[in-house]
Amino acid sequence: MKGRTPVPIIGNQAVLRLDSAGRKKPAADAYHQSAQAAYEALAAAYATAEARWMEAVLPATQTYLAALASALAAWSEAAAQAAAARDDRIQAAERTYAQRLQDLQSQADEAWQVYASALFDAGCAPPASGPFQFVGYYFPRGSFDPRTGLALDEHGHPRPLTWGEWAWYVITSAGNDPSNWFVLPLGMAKAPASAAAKAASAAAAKVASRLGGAAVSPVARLGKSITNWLGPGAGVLRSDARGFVIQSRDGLRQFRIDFKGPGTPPAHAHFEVWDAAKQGWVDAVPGQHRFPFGE
Amino acid sequence: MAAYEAIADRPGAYRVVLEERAEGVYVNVFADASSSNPYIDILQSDLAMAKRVCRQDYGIEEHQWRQIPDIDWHAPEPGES
Repeated sequence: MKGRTPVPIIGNQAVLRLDSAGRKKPAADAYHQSAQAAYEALAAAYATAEARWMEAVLPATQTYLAALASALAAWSEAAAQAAAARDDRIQAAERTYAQRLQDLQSQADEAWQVYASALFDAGCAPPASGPFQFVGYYFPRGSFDPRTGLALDEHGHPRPLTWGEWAWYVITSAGNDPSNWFVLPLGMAKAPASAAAKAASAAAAKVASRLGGAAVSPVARLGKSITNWLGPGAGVLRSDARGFVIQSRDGLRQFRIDFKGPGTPPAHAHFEVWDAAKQGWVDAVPGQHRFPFGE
Repeated sequence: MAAYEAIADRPGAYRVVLEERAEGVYVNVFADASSSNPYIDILQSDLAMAKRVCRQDYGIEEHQWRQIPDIDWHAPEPGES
């Protein structure tokens, strides 16, 4: 080994070297001393940096926490004010609604009085159902047959509209969800007598006019009713001087007007619905084939 | 446009006349032999449908129909399409 350059031996913890006498001398001591010194220097630097960081950050943190507390307080106050304002608006809306409901009920009662009087004058006893309630004549979805537009009884069987339903429809048809309502002529299917029907119709129209319906002409109202009955997207099959035919988009309802031809004068309308069992068109109101105009 | 006639000879439906028009086929029903105008004139979509409904409602079979000169109860005004 003499004369050869000492070769470092790489170990796990230390570098072994040879001294001048060729004896092996571990470098661990020197290494440990250097590492200790380096660690102490690093620790000192870290401690200094940490102190400086704390010195810099702490005031900012305190400022942030103070601002946060202030913001939370402001938010809570604003939320409380908003809730109070909301409650006020809700209560105001509820008061308006209740007042409007009361007004409408009064008008409905008044309409009933006129209507019952008209029936009485026409020689018919008013229906036993009594004055109708304003909120009672919204037809719940499913309580009528969308194919025929007829109301359904508790067994799901078609039934004609009551006089109250019909009269209420006349009064309110312009302002309600059309899917809940029926075309006016359908309600006339089971009129107790033609004289009574005419009298009640005139009375209802008069009442409707008094209740603000004057802005909507009978023609416009009827047109709206027919539009409601047919639904959106109805297609005109014919439109000329002698006749008019329009069919609903789903092909289940059709409305016709004969200006000339059988049954005229007077001009009249037809309401027809598709009968799936028969695979053909039938009158929407059994036994009511034509609805004459001019009354 | 064609027209077809059949005698049903039933109460309230003595005679039926089918009237083809652009919009469909009118089923014109005459109450009795002396009636000059139909009291029912439902519009069916086509001739086959009209005949099927008449078989169901009035018992009119296919062989009972006979073509007749066109009638104009539901025809548009002359000159109109």
